[in-house]
Amino acid sequence: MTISPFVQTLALFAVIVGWIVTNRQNNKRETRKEGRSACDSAKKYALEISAKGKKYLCTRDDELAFEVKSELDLLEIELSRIPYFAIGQNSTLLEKFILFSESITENDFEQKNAPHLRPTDERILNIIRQRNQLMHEVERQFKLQFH
Amino acid sequence: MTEKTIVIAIDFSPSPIGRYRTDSETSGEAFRVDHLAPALRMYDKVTVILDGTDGYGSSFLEEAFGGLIRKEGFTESQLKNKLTIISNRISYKFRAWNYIADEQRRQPRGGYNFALA
Repeated sequence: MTISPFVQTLALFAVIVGWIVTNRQNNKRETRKEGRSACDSAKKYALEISAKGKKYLCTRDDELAFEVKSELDLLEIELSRIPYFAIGQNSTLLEKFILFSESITENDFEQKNAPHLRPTDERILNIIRQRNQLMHEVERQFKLQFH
Repeated sequence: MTEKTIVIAIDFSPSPIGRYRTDSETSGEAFRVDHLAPALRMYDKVTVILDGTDGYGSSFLEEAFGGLIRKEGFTESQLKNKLTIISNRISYKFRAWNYIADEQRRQPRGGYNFALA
């Protein structure tokens, strides 16, 4: 029995459509996996930086200040992997990142003879607040972009 | 038209630290007074490249860029015409311009630049 050219074409078409659908699903899954890894990594950095930032403001250890700046740089690299991070003034994620960075490195950051803060100082509490807001925003962006 | 490019990591220091000279010789104040403000007075266009350093604290960025208005007498509109800030990290660029705008708003008579509206 011979298969008609119509059926052959239809079968070929079905194979191509199937391949496209599968390929799209794979790409979507990979992008989502990549996004999840960027978000998890960003959150890990945010936790580390806030801990070091708090410790720096309580001890004024210069080495910690260096590590905070360096890791903020790395955190921004991770956040840049999340779509729509770098769209300037309209990016909530960028704004939260800046507020978090500033909560640690503003005013007397790296200033000689700056006072050692108490762990309950308002500035320390603000670091935790800004960190949490950044982490919430990271998760919100993940849901927006990848769900 | 005269132009000047300042690569902070090469022309100033790969480790910018602190706000004032009393904090460090590589502070925001030292950068502004010794490099940025003189270049802005001498050249028509100045480009500052922030990449290649150990990173910047807000204290450094605010003193270097906000200080241009607070202590060097520039206005935001002059800086918008003369100054270009380049960085791979968008937050540095955004923060530097924000400190300039914030300081302009704090100036007497409002300091708003209506020419930009």
